[in-house]
Amino acid sequence: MENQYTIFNELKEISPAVANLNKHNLYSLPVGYFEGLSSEILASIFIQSLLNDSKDTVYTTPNGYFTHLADNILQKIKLETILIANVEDELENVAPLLNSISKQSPYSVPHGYFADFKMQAPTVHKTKIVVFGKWRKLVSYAAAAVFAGILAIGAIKYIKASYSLNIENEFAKTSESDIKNYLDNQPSVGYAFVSSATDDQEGSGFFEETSEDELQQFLKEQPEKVEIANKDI
Amino acid sequence: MNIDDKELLKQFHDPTSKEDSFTVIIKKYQEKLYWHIRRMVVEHEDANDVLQNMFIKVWKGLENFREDSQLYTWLYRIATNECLTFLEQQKRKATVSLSNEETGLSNKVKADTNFDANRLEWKLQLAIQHLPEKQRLVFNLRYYDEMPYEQMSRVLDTSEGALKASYHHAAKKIEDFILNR
Repeated sequence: MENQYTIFNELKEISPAVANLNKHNLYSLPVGYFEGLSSEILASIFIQSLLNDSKDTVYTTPNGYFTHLADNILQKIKLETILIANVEDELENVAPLLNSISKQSPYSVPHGYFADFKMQAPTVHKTKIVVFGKWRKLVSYAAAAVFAGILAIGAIKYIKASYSLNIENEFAKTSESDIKNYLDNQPSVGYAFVSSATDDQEGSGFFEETSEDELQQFLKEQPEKVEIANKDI
Repeated sequence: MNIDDKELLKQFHDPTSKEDSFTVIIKKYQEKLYWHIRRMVVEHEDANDVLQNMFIKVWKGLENFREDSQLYTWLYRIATNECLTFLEQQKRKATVSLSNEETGLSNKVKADTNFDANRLEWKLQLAIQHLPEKQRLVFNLRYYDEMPYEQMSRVLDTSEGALKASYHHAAKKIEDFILNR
């Protein structure tokens, strides 16, 4: 170990402030940590060696497996190569007819085609590039917007017209007697007429045709409804 | 080579005294190596893991240890490599940048039960954790372990001149940290 004094002087020259600091270990560590450390490490080594041993003994291989493995693999490869190489033999088993047909191509090529074969460079057609001005673009956008607006308005009008037409058609198809029957079978609608028709002449006519006794009887039977009707009036 | 180490190695190669000699080696160097590792990784649990892994590697490698270098230097070399591997793994796990890693180590320093922000010695520890890895190693080996540059050169595989320059830069950075932060 180098002289403490030399190291101190070296640091003092570089930085006196750091040289004068306390060197003691400040970090905390468990009490008695170093006492059991060696046995703990030896135990870990023992466990590791056990694990390594067990790695070797878990699986077994047949006797001489690795000695003959390379030969076995090479033999298999050779066998497969022979089978693939002899195409004619293979075809003899699969489709013997194909073996009897000549392999010469029936297609013909123009005389001297391969001798004169040249790769033709693709011709590039120069196309004039038209550049639109900024105002032209704006005009085209505006025209598109106007066209879209006309389409939208037309669509809304068409939908409205067809909707009202349908309702009118439906009413035209319904007979008057059917409408009368419907209204007679809707008591709540009748009451609505009673409450809201007090101002018109038809409503006052309805009360004129009713006798005093009938009205009294009605008031006895329906006191609440009449009260509501009076409030509305 | 230290005669004691030579004797220990001789015993280690004898199967009947292998474990006993290894126990003596551990006991002889455990504290020095522990503190060397602890100053690099900061937390005790991490230091303990690194130290144990390091000694397991020593057990496996001691059979083939070439006696042309000192056992002490060889042990420091393995410990340093284990520290750097550990720190690299931590960086990968956190996928953080170097500056974040330094902040992480500083936070670990602050998490120590004895930490006192007002004590200059703790400020020194924070300053050390802000150094780049190599400078931190050089500063710790020189300042705390008082290791000669020649020996340090064998541990870190770096020229003595480069180590001196590293130590100088590290000390200056530490001074700046303590005085200006």
